[in-house]
Amino acid sequence: MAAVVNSERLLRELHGLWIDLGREAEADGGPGVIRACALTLIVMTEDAAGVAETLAEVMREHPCRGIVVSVRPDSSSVHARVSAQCWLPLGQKRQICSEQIEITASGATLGHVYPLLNALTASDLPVVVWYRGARLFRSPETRLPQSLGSHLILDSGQAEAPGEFLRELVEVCYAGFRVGDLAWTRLTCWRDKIAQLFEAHVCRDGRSAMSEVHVLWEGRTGRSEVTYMAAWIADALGWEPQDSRLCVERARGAGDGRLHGVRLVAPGMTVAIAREDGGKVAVTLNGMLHEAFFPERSEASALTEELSIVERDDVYERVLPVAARLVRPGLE
Amino acid sequence: MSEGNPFHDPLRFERHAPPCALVIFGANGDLTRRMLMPALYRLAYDRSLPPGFTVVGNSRSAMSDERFRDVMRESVIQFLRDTPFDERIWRDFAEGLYYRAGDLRDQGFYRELEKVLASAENERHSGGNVVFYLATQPSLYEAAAAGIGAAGLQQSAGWRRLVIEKPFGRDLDSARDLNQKLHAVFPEESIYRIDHYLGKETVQNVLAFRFGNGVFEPLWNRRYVNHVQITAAESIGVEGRAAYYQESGALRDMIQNHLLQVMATVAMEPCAVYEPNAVRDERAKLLRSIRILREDEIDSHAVAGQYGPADIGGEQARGFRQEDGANPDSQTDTYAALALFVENWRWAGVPFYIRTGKRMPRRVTDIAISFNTAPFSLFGSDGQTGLMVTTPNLLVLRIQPEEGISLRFLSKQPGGGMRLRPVSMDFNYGSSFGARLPSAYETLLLDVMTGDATLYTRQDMVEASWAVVQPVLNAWAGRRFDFPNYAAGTWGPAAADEMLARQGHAWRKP
Repeated sequence: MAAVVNSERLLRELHGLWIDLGREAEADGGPGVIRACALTLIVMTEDAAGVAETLAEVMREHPCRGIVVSVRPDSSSVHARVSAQCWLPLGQKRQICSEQIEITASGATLGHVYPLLNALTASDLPVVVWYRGARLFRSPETRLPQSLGSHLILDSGQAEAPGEFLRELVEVCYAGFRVGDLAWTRLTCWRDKIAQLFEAHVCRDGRSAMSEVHVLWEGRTGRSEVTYMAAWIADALGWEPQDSRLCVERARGAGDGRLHGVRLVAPGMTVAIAREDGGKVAVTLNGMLHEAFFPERSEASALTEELSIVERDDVYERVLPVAARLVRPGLE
Repeated sequence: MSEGNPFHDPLRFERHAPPCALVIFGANGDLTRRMLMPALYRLAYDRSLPPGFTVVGNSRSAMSDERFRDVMRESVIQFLRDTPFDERIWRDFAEGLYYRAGDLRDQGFYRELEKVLASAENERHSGGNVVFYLATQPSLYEAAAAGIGAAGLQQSAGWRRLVIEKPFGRDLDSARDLNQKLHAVFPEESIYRIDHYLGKETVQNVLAFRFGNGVFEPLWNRRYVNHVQITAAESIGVEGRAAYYQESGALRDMIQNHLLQVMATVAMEPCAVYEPNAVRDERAKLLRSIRILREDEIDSHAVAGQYGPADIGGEQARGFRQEDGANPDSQTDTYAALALFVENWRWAGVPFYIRTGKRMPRRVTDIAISFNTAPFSLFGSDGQTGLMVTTPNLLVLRIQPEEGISLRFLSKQPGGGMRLRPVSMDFNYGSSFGARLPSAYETLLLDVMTGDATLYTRQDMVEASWAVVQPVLNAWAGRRFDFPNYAAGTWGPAAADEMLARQGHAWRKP
């Protein structure tokens, strides 16, 4: 680890790393490695060890130059090191490798880091900034300048006061940032299924006559994903967030606040999706029951999906202000 | 999903099949077990199938619904790739599997089928939409279509589509005849002819590569391209299917359909819109532009081969004539190569070399675009000039097994002087990196259910590709070849090398 960090040295070390990898592969008699990079992903985190596994998984679909800025209050100076993450796709002969730069700094020394980041981003490729922890985004000390990257990924599900956080995100969007919220991303399977059910002939006629919608959560307090689901449905149906036909309520006594289910009711028609164990959901369409599989949305899988969205997300940007205005008992 | 659906999120949602039922004729066969049912299971796993999705299987063997479900379950477990088998998802999916035994020439079977489809519409909300999939022998295609028509099953309040697998006929006349018989029951827009090569992600990526980037298309013509080689090589032999293979041969089995479609994809003009018929119009146009070989050109532009026995790495590989079920005097081509020319402004004078064969050194399918060399050598020595001639820029689109794109160019060797050497840069390891690629059948099944015919072959494309190979088939039918003429484990007969040498070219070793 170096006491003084400069970008030129880090880039030289990266270069050396690839040469070493190539030589190792040559010595093994193998076909070498592929250096892959589709974007720069800057990760602001207070838990560098925790993020390593996520990045290793994400890089399989989004090989990148990962710059992990580990914010540690006990760090009195800036430290940096480079590494590569490699993996061998099934059936392939060559490893695919992405590069990673880990920078450790405290809040006080972060000012030294920002100029470094400008020099370290990969040329001509998109830059995405992931704040792994709402606190890091909200604190002026740890918020990166917009010039560094205007595509942000956050997770309102981790925020202490998610309702307030959503209102902040609205302001961030108005300021020109492109925002992705992993709490919203985790709803994709649910939203997809609801949309699919509506596509079915039997649902189409009932849409305009929807009499009520129930969005249910598990536990004492509902998370932001519950707010997003209610807001999305309200927006799609053209309802105001406080419409009394939109019922957002607790489903069970115990739980961690995640979404439990959605029920849409119209005269002579009921569509319901309810969470079961093991990643399954029960889908009921006018009494006909079948099961679907909703894969568990790990941090890595949600981030992978979010990084796949390369343009502005019009649906999300329409729903976010509705969610920010949705106030219900039990939702923070 | 329709654009009018207010819940639709095109950025995040995958495609979904609308309510429908799928009737598989030949449900007890290899294709259903190995390809169709695993693909359908995967679609169910991905939540791409509608609730109430129904499959009605048919073969001549007697079987109950339960037995059919058990057999299909075992097939899915055996042939599923890259997907976990989940019992609960299977159970839910299997509730929609039904089986009706019957002879496709027996009208009674179609009356029974009608009842099952009516039940699917009422109880499983299939919307009256049905795909009839002919996964059966080609000799039964006409009987199946006629039976469907006689029972009036091709019409309903919903849509009805017919899927057929290759071969689409044995030659141009039989292809036209088959089309006529099918059209007596189904309009062309309801007929989906599968060429699973078009469903491969890597073949689709050729269009994305060509028309999604501005840098390559200006070079994609006779001014810059010297020649194109399309190779589809298999390392295995006929694997116990010699009796079936003898009826077709390499030219019919691979070139007439798959490789000519690949050639069309590589050489076609850009379409104005990415819509099924616009894309197929351009493919058909390209196929019609291929110059039909005259009888006196066959020998110089077409090569037939048959593999003989060889010792490959200590293992004795049999020749084709020694394979089980093969005629010891067989004249079947297990290798075929053509030199074709496209007569249009873009490609006039550029040879397209196509080869395919069994028992070649390795399994590989790729497209290699060889560019013209630089107009003169700036760098002095004859050796350097020679290097520029022998290693022209080469763009290779690898279809399988390791998808990717590579570009070969000359670069300066480190050190004093200006000595060049060829380097090959892989600059795209597929569009996937780590993502799972859907199988061709997953893509194509979803396409037919959503009514997207982009990747399906149209009548005019089929007939145009038969027209290209027909003169060669005619010439070879009356010929007695001196087979075998290449050893198993080699890249084909010497005559194929000579065919290119006459043009000053040589086959690559992929």
